Amino acid sequence: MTDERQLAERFRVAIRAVPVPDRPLRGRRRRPNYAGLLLGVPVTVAVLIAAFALSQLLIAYRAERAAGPDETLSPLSATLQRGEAIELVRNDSRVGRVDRIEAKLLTWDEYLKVPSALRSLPGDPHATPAATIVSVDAGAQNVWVVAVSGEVWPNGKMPERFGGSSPPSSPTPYPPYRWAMFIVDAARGQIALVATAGIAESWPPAFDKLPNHPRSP
Amino acid sequence: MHRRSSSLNESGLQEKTVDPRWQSLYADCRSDLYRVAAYLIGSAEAEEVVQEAFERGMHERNFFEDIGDPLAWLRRVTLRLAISRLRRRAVLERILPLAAARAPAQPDPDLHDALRRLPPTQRGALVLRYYFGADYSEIARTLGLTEKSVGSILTRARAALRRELA
Repeated sequence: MTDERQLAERFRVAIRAVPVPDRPLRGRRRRPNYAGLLLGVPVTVAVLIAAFALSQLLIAYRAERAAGPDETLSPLSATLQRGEAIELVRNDSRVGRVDRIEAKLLTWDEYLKVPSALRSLPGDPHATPAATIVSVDAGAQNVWVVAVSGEVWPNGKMPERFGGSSPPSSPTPYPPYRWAMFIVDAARGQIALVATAGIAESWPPAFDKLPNHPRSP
Repeated sequence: MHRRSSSLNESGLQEKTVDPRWQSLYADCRSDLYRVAAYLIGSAEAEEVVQEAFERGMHERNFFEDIGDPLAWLRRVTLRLAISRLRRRAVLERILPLAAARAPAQPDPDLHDALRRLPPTQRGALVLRYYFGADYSEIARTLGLTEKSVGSILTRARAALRRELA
């Protein structure tokens, strides 16, 4: 009991010694809500991730709709279907990461109307391009033009030496292009060439202007 | 019929719309509530806690008519708010050790240090018991516990305090 009384006395002395301000007490101030912040950050991140995923789905949906053939154009024959042409390019060794990939069916003549439809493509996309124009005699063949964005190496990833006795001891890989347009021979079902590529944009600007014929059954 | 104010202004309870009974209650128990809150959670937060307790009381409809013992009610709310802040602070201090509040100079630093090492509920129970002289039922009401658990909490708190003060 004495112990209890002593304890009570110590509490009384200690608490009564706490000075009380003469001025009026301050009201509640808004303090940072740390618990809210700790909870809010992951929630915000989750919302951002969900929004990003949704936007990607929307982009893919719109791209898929936009990639559909124009039914007002005459159908063209092709042994490959659209998805097969896309997969052919996707699996090509010159294609790395794929952010977006689409295909359009048209005639070679229609494709050649695109400005800079054919360009020489140095291994290093930052190098000054050679003035050479690739000459292709394809006539009125039907082609799948497959546009791909992400990482593309039209000349392969590694520099090659022709005529030497041995390859370079430590070859430096080429940096990738950001996009390229592959030409797939619609009749033979093979990649004919990488027609053009670039690093200035994230998607070939000419691709959206190309006509897109339906494939004849 | 007295009108009630929705909040306290900078000059405490000087608003003319405030029930005069609040002014006398504020004058009577402001210092005591502030001292206890400051002893538990420090002076800066104690001001907020006491003001908040009064604000809550003023938001109660028919406070003086319905509440039998206004002083006990304010003491209970102040203690609950202080303990709630102690709990939040304990969590924060576990995450961010640097956020631990520095103790102000105390007349009995041993007791204060020993108390700081106890869990928030034990601290509140000890202050209620030994400063306010509250019985078990009052402590149980204030802390939201049963009387039986108040007994065991006080026993543990006293034992821990004795160990710390030995």
